[in-house]
Amino acid sequence: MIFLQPSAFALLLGAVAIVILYLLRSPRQERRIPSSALWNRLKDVSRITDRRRRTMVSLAMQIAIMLLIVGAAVRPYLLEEGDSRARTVALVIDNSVSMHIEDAVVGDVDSEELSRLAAAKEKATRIVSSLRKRGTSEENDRALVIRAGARARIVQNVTDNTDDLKRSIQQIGQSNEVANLSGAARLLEQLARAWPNLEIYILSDGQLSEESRKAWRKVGVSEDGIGVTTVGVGVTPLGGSYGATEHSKNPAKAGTPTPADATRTNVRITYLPIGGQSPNVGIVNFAARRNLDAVSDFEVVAEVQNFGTETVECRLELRMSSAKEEFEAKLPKAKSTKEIGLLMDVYELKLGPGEKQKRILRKANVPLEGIVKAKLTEISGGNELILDDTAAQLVPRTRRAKTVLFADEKEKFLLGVMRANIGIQAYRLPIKNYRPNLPVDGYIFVNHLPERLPTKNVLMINSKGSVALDGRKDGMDPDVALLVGEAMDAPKVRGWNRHHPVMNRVSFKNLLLGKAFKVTSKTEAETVARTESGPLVLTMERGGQKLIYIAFDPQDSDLVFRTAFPLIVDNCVRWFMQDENTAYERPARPGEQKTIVLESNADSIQLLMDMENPTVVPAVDGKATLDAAPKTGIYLYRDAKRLRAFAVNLSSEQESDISTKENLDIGEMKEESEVVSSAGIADRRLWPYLAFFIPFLLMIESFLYHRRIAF
Amino acid sequence: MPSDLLTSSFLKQLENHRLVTQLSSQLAGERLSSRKGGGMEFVEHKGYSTGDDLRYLDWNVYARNDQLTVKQFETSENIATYVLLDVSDSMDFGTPSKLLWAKQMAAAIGYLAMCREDWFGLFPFSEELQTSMLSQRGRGQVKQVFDFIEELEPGGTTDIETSIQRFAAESGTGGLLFILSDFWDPDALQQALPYLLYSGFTVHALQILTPEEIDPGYSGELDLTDAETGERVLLNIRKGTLDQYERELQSSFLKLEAALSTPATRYFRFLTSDSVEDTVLYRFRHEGLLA
Repeated sequence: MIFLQPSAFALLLGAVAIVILYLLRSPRQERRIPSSALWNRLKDVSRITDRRRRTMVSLAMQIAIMLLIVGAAVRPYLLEEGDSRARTVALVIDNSVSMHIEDAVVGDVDSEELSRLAAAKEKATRIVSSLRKRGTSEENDRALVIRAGARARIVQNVTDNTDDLKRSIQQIGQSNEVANLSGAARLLEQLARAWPNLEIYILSDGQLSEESRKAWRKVGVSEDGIGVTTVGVGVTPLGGSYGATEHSKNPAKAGTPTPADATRTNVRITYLPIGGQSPNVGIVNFAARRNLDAVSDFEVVAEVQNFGTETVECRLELRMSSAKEEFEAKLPKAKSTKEIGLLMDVYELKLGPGEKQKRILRKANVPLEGIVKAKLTEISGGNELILDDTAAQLVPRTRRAKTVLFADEKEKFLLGVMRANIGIQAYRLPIKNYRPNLPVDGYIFVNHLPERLPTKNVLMINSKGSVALDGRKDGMDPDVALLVGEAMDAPKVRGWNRHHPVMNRVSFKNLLLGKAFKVTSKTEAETVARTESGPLVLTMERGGQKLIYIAFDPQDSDLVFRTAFPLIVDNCVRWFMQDENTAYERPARPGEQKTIVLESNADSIQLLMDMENPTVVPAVDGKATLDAAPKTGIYLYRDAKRLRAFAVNLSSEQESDISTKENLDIGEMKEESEVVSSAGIADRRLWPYLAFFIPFLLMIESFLYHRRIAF
Repeated sequence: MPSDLLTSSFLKQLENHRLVTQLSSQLAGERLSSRKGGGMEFVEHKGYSTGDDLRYLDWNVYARNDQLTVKQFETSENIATYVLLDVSDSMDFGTPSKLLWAKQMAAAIGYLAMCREDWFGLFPFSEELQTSMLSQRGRGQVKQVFDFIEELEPGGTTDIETSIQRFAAESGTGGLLFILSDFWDPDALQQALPYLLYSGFTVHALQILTPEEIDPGYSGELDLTDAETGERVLLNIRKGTLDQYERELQSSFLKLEAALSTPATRYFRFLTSDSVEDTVLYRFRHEGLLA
């Protein structure tokens, strides 16, 4: 049996108080009477022993009532031992940003509200206290503690030492990260194979992404037939189960498990919801990008959502600042509390319950490089989380992709498209001038292939021959090669992958092809478009190099007359530059890894988030990788003698919705709140039964004592 | 005659009254006797019956009617009045105490008797008959009697049976007897009554109780101590207990009434909350004890 509220045992002092009051009962009155003749006859109906017996019975009843109250208040749960094997308990403690909210109550309803993380740690500590000790370490229950923020980290490996476990739990600190429990799910999926009777406790407010849900569902439908039972325990009754529970074929087996036991284990997931229903308003999406058709213009989109149950009014301010301004504002001598940057626009928002509104600022002018910031102010309603009230993004200088085209003089369409694209700085060279190490971002070969491919990104169009990814023509290893075969006449397009970056917004519907090469690949090449007889467009990535093969000549089709042609060219170049653009433009989230592409070859940079304690980030091959951005805000650093910046935003609808979920929705849930498995802790809440008897005992006590029933 | 027991005005009022009794004695006195005899004033004739004093035959009537007729005359006599006063510890209870109330009543009875030149004797008792004030007569003895009464102190247990037997043996001649007690042992009184009746006493039993004894009003756990014996009774008093007490009390009263229901005995119950003056002047008159 475990007690979820052991501090309530202090109520036992009440029983002591009852006994003391009994001992301090009013003294017997002494009276002198003329004669005891009559009074002696009353002894039979009013003996003092009757009174004492009645008082004793009343005392016993009151103590019993007190014990029942204490028993109910400590919230006991019954431990059932389905078999003798040791249990392994995995405690997944969510320490994401929403766990900051101080709306959690542990124990009595009247208790002081704690932060959700503190409440989660308290509950986890109680679970650790409930681990069974049988003697040897092999027979004892064990537990491990996983901290689940943006990434899952094991903060305490599997051990039966409860002191270590409790210490590790207490050491889990608050983070500003977005919850991503999928990492914990994947980790535990592996552990479930190794540990029998694995019991997983998720202590969270239930802000799960769809990715996390999929990951947890996968834990439940393991190919090993591992059954999953989800049991609801906690503030809010919930629970259920999904998947078939596979009972052990050999339940009596004890001792250290082996992976071979995996098929005979039970995995039980228990979700302990932490926190309440707090209101919040936040920026759930924020993005800024350059316009495609004007280098100096950019557009900003911001989405604000109200997660409360009341209508909220607020102001959304958009500002533009520079890295230098941000740097000066962070200096210790800076005293101004004014908002930094130029105010670009203000939107008055009125958001109903659950309403999300989008505001777009088009054609804002930014000189070279700037930081676009959004901030919610003058919020009229509940707003428990402030980290999502701001967002920022760097709008970097646009770098045009240097691309060299090796094609015949008759190739007009492709060159025209490249020159019309403001993101491409196009060059055309004859094939005889080919060099594999030209200072360009990409090569485009039309109807030709060089003897040796460059190490840069390559787009090959209608090139005949075989390509080995090690750079050699006619590669020796067929497993890593593209084999370009004979040409087919008028093949019909059978489909394409709309989700691949190369095919973004491109349609090959009813594309008329004159000829197309038949291409075969035994490598990891991905077919993004195909005909009835084989691949039509293939992409490959290997060692940072990207290759695209288009198996037909656009001039021998109607593609050049379609809008799809400039789009696919633009897509190909963007795909080549994707890493760089992503690294530059996409704001990171707290806890996520952030790669900073440097212009210089510095071996490290100093991040100036906190001016007094700059963080040194090592750089390799022109890239500095920050393992985990600790908090939201604007991070400054110097690169190539210039002050640069990147932003870390919460911008998470999942995390801004801080109302605790009663159900994780990670499977087919049952309505019943108690699901008992054959092993481990059974959700047997005893306190309702104890509380049920209290009024009966009170009635009996009242009947016996106050109704003065004679014994 | 000033007294600490009775006020002068009360004593003055008592002088206008006399105790009523159907008793006759051999003691000539101021009280008119119900017994017809050798007095001076003629009352009536009655037919002769064997044993009548031939000296009172009215020969004139015999001459005219040829019937033997006896003349009857009014006679006066003195009645012996006694008070048996319970001075046990049980009488030292209440405010005013039952003993004080009884002493005042005894003084009033004594004054009534002595004002009529009746013989008056006071016999305090507890576990036995104590030093007594033997028969006194005449107003000149009032102070002595009152002093005697005032000096009585409570003490001892009650043995009314022994005390009455002893009293009957000592006084012997009969008379009007007032027994002043709380009568918590009615059985003992019942046992002793035949001695008094055989000796020719007319017995007035005056039970004196305090209001607290009628309605104790106790509650909770009580440690009750008997004032005479020191016996302790531990009780848990609640409403049912008091109801039962009242039933026992009424049973005790009924027992006393039954024992004192003979023609020569009467039973009265008084509360110390009533004044002695009102009791004598109104209650006694109402009950026919006082004329």
